[in-house]
This record gives sequence, C-alpha cells and structure tokens, in this order.
Amino acid sequence: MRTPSFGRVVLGLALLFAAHADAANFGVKNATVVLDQRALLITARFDLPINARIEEALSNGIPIDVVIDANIVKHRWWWRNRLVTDHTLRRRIQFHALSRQYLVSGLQAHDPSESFGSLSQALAHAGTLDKFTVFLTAKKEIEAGARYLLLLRARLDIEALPMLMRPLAYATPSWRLNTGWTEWPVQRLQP
Amino acid sequence: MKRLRPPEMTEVRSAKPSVNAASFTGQTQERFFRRARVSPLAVLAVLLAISLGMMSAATQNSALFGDLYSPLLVLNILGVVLLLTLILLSVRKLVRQFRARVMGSRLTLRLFGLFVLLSVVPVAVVYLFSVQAFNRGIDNWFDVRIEQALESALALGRTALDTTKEDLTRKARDMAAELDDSSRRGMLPTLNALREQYGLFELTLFGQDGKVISSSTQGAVRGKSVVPDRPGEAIFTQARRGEVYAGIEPLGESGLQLRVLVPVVSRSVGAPVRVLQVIEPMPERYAQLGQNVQVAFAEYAKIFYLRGPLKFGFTLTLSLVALSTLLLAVWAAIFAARRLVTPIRDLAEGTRAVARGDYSQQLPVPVGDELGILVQSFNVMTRRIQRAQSEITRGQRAAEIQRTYLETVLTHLSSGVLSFDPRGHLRAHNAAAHQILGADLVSGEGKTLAWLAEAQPTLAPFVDALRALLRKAQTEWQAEITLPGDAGRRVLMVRGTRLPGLHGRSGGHVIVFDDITALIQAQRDAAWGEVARRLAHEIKNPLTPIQLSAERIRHKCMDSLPEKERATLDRATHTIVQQVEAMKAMVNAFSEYARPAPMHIQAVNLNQLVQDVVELYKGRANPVRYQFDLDAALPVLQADPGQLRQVLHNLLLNATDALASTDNPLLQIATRYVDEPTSRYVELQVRDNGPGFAPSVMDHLFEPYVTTKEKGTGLGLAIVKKVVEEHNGTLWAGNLRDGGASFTIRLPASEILAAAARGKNT
Repeated sequence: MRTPSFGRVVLGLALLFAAHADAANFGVKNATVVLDQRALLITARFDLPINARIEEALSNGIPIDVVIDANIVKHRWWWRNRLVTDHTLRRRIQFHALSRQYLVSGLQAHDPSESFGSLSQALAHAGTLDKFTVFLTAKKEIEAGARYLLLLRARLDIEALPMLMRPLAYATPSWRLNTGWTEWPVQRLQP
Repeated sequence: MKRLRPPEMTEVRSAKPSVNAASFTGQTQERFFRRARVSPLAVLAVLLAISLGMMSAATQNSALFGDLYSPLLVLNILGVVLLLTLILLSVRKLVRQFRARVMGSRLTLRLFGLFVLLSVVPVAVVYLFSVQAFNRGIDNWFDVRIEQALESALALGRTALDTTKEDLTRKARDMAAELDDSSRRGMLPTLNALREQYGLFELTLFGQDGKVISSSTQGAVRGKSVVPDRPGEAIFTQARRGEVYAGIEPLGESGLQLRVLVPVVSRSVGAPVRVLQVIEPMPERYAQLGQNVQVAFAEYAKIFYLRGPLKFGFTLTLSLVALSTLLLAVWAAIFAARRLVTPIRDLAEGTRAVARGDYSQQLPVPVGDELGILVQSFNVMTRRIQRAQSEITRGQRAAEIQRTYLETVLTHLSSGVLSFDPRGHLRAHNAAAHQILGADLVSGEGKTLAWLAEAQPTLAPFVDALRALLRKAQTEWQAEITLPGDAGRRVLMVRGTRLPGLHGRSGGHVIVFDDITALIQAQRDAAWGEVARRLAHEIKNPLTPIQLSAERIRHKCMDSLPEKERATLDRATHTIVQQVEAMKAMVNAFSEYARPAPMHIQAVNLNQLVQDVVELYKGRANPVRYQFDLDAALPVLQADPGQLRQVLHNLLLNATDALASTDNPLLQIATRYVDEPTSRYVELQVRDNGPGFAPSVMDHLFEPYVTTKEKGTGLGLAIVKKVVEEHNGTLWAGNLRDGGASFTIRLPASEILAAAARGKNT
C-alpha cells in the first residue's frame, strides 16, 4: 500500500487491458474479530493459491509479498463508513536455494522469519492471522451501541516486485491476485 | 524541440515600453501570441524528456528511480496519449481546412506529410535496430558455464550440508535411544550430559502434546536466558508420527542452522511419543560460504529470470522514447508547416485581394529569410499600386471636373456646338445646338450626319454642306449655310475645327454654329435705313429748286407767251409742282421710316386693341370672315398703343389684300400668353387662307419696297418689323402647310405686369 490510490489507478488501467483474472485468486476462508475490552483480536485464514508463473518467479529467487489490509470501520447506514483504524500486514515469501526452504517473514519488522520445507506450508502460514491484536487507543474508542466491521483483504503486492517485472505483472491477470474487500462483523466479548 | 521556441520571444518580452510604444501594433501582438503558443509544446516536450530520462535511469539502475517506475510509466503513457490526441486534433483541423479549401491548407498538409515522412522513417529504422540489438545483447550476457558453475557450487554446498545433517541425525538417533529409558525427573541433567557428550548447541525434548519437557542449551550454561527454538507445526507433527525430520534452516541474515527432530519411542507400550529436537548452528565459516553461494546463485537466478522483463522494460522505454520523439516530431511538423505556410498563405490571400482591387493589403513580415524579402516586396508593391491608383482616381476626378466645367460652358453657350469623332459619329452637343437645329440630338448620339438629315429633313442643306466641309483637309474652315423652314429662312454661320488626334491622325471635328439670321437682318435693315435717309436727303434737296424754278418760269413766261402756249406752260408747271409735292411727301415718308420715332409707352390690353382695330375693317363691304382665339389670361403689355395699332393695321391690310382673290376668305387672329422658365412673352398670330408668300419674296419679306401689290409703298411689313423690334419683340412669317400665310409676333411681358395681370384675373 505504498501508493494506494495510484495502485488502484494502475490496477484499473491494467484491468482495462487484461482479460478476466485466473480462477485461482486469493480468497478469505474465514475470519473472526473479537473485541476484548481495549483490544481487537483478529483471527483469519486466507486461501492463497499460487499459479505456476508465480511459483517459477519464487523458485528463481524473486520474493513475493502478500499484503493483508485490515480496516476497522464504524458502520454508518446514512453515510460512508468511518474508518477507526487500519493496519497493513506484510508477509514476504522467499525461496532459499541452498537449504531448499521457503522463508516467510514475520508480520512485524523485528519478527524472525520462519522456514518451511514446502511452498504450501509457507503459504498456509502466510495466510494465517492468529489472534493478531490491535490495541485501541483512547482516540479510537469503540462506542457501545454502534456496529463495527472488519474489512479484510489480502493481495499480492506488485509494487514490491523487482521494478522490471511490474509493468508486465500489472498487465498479466495471473499476477493480479486479490481477495477484494470482505466484511466481517466485530463481535463483542460478553463481560 | 527547444529550437521551436522562437529566440525573439524573450526580446519581445523584455522590450521596454518606449516612446515608440505605438509601433507595438496589433500585428506584432498577434505574432507574439502566435509564437507563444509554441511554448506548451516545448514544456510538454521537456517534461516528457525528463520523465523518459528518469524511466530510462530506473530501467538501468533500479535504486535511483525504482519506486517511481510505475508512476513514470503511466505518466509517459499519458503524455504520449495526450500528444497523440493533440496531434489528431490538429490533423483533423488540417484535414477539415483542406476539405473546406482554406487558402494554404493544401500546402500545409503537403509539408506536414513530408516532415512526418522525414521524421518517421529514420526513427522507425533506429528503433527497430535498437530493439533487435539490445535484445541480442541481453541474451549475450548470460553464459552457460557460469550458470553451471553456480549450480555446481550450490550442489556442493548442499552435499556438504547433507553430510553434516546425516551426521547429526545419527547422533540424534543415538541420543533418542539413550533417552528412551530416562525418567521425566532426571531429564535435564541427562540432556545436559548428552549435549556435552555430543558437543551440540541445543537439545530439547517435547512431549506428545508439543510442550517442552526439558531443554538444554549451550547459552544456558553461560548464563543466558533460554527459550527453546520451537519447530514448526508441520515438522512437529511429522516427528510425532515417528518420522525423522532433518532440515537446514537459514538463520538471520547469513547464518545456517541444522534442525533434527527424532521421535523418542518408549519401549513400554502405550507410553506417549516424545520428540527430541537437536539444533546445531553451522560453523560460521561454513555458513558464510554457504550463504555466499546462496546469494550468488539467487542473484544469478533472479537476473536470469528477469531477463524477459528486462527486455520488456527496455523495449517499453525505448518504444515510449521513440513514440514520444516521433509524436513530438509530428507535432513540430504541424507547427513548422503552419509557420512556413503562414506567410505564403498571407501572400496568396494578399495577391487575391489585390486581384480583386483591394490595394490596402499590408502583410506581417516574417523575420529574416527570403520569404520575408518576398513579403516586403509585396508590401512595397501594393503600396505603390495604391499610390498609383489614388493618383489615377484623382486624375479622373480632375478630368470629370474639367468635363463638367466644359459641359456647363457649352450648355450656356449661345452658339451651337457639335463634335464628331474621326468616323463621323456624333459625340457631343449642347443645348444651343439642339435649339438652333430643332432636332433631338440626344437620341442621335453616336450616329452619323445621315441620321440628322433623316430625322429632320429641313436640315438637309445643313448636313450636305457639313459633309462637304468635313471632307476637306483644312483644319479650320468657316461657312454660311441657309436653311429653309416654317419660320422663314435662317442663316447659320458655321465654323469647323479639326481636332488633334493621337499619332497625327484626325481626332474628329468640332463644329460651332450661330443663327445669324437676325444679325443679317439687322444689318440689312440698317443699310436700308441709311439708303432711305440718304435718298430722302439727296432727293429732297433738288426738289425745292425744281419747284421754285418751275414757278418762276411760269411767273415770268406766263405773260409773254401767247395764249395757246400759256395754257401749256401753265399745265406743265402745275404738273411739275404737283409731282414735286408728291415726291416731297414720299421722301418725307421714307425719312420718317428711317428716323427712330419717339415711343409713348403705356399699359396696353392687346386683346382690346385687336378687337378695336378689326372692328374698323368689318364695317365696310368686306367678304373676309374674322375668327378670334384670344387668351383671357393675357397680361397687360407695356407698349406704345399707337404704334401697335399701326402694326395691326398693316398686318390686317396686308392679309385683306392677300385674300382679295380667295373664295371664302378667313382671317384668324390668336393671342396667347407663354410662360417659360427662361422667358415670358405675349404671342400674336395672324393667319389667312390666302395664296401665301411667293418663294421669291420669302427672304426679303420685311425689307422696304418689297411688294407684290400694284399700289403700296412696300413699307408696310418693314414698319411692322421696326415697331416690333423697337418693343424688344420678335416676329416671323411663313407659309402654312395647308395654304395661307401666318405672321407671328412675340412681345416680352415684363414680370411685374404679368404677375399683376394674373392677380387681376384670379
């Protein structure tokens, strides 16, 4: 999400040129978000299928970034939803040729990366949010009566690809992997 | 592209408003704006060049503009699309102008096409060769041997690691076997001991549920806090199922560690399966070398893989550069064509305007080149033509004024003027000519003399004489021409002049003529008067001595003569005296005629006078019928009534005598008042149905001693004429067409009296 609006513009332009996306797109299997006092616990599982083209790039040492966007919004029926907080989580998948391992970086910058013997394991790990905790500051208080939604999306970050691949990636449907925004209700933990 | 920006523009901008500010005309301003329109193109070109440069830099070195690559790409594509749109709009405009046959559009389109052809072909050739060249160049970068070497290195590293891994696995199995019987309590010391024994980094024992039973780490001995490194869920599950897992894991930036999981199977049936995890970091040197190989291989694989996108990227950049250059060239071609054609179009339009007769064309002069000289020459030309044109117009106006002046003079000339062109066609005439000749000369313009003779048969002698005279080679001539007519014979004095023509040829003739009838008449009258006076004087002088002598002879000889002779003498002397007396009376009458009589002017009613006089004639046994046609609106005349009465007597007497041998004699007397803009007069006309005048007397009708009658002095009509002329009137006599003679007298009516008379009548 380095250039979000721009990315959308490019995406739109690319969509104009390209045909329908491949059938194997990213998807959200399930997600729950629980409000526990001042923290939101997000648990989600994404289905991140990868086509041969991306696998080829991975095996040639190209790192692939999967970006998970998680926005908490207050539902407003009369107007656009109000954004409470937004988080962009990035997981980088990389092939380590010497050890034949797939490395998946952590959500935060200081988290150690984990290695997996197979790509499917790595992807399963990358597509898992296990009680990702969002702490709410006083400013972003959750009102008692209001309805809140979690907007969730996972996508392949083309802008993180090596520069030379970007134009082609934008123009190729197999690179444009995106779950699209999905809405999940925020559940409140009964006291 | 920058060259398109006109170098003078900055000068124009910086020009200070001087005293000559007025010379900064609209023309200059227009030119300024026309040139300023180029600048958006220049800006666009510069921007496009910069962004293309950045994109090119990004393609070659991703560190510099790597993040901006996609925006730059889109920006450039947008720029190209914008350019394309602008060019298409311009081309459409050009084509539309061409279809509308706007002046200069054909040339513009042709030049544009030429420029485009000149720019497209080289760019296309360079583009195609470049794409081919660098595609081949990129392929040449990659060497099969290097690839093989890297793969071999990687395989070598893997083999080395695998050996270590197998060694560790064996160790782990041995340890698992030893751990088999160890109870839970003594686990940590056992693990520690085993770790020490095998010289390992970390040993961890997990229960079946994945919880750490015990862990021994090298760091713990040294007093560091220890959290055992947990394996991944999948690995653990694998180990729990009884399979051995051995893997090499990258550690941090450059480290490598070996992880081995072996199941610790209890001998007792039903005991939970525990898992022993052995972690051993690779020695630093190994790890370093392995990492080097890994990095080199990864980089090579990446570059090799990116070869396709690199080609694509280069091709894209080059295509954009080529396309932008091309489009800018096309755009510049449009501008260049327009700029080139503008003065030519101006010239064409200016020439067309000049052809239409608009000489006020002044074109803006383009700077410097031969076109500028051409336009300047055109401007000078139109200025000269305009000057010449205005001079011609002025000359024409002067000629027109001259002509009008001449016409006015001619119109008011009492002499008739006719002018003929070299072929004898009537070219000009004046009102006097029309009046004198009595012919409608306007309809005779452009016609020959023959027409005049046809239109007015009475003018035949005039035409014949003129023809004869015109044929003569003399430049100037003069002649007297006599014309017959209703109003008596007229004498025209004609003077002709040959007009100078071009190249010594004849330029036609001008004929000036006057009606000198009156003049000749006056001269003749004057001569007659003189003769009469002289004659009277000369005759009267000897008459008295003759009379005295005759009386004296009678007195002296009467007594001395015998009776018979005495009677003869007496008779003879008596006759002499009597005749002398008669002669004296006659001479007196003559002298009376010759001497101007004193006028007694008073108001006269002509109608009354006419009726009074006619009444005297009616009384006697007279067979003549009198018919009156008197104008009731006749003004009162200022005249001598006695003399007018004399005139009437003479006319009536003359007519009565003329009617003596006519059956059913009729005498018509008419008066009328003629009110013309130039003159007012009272006209009296006396007509009879007698035999008319003999042609022989026509010319000398009003001269004294002209008579056809047996008795009469021949002074009657002469006196009439004299009286009328003394009253400033005119008179003429003529024969009527259906027999009979007519006398017409015109007496001028003074304006005041005429007005008074009209007032009285109304």
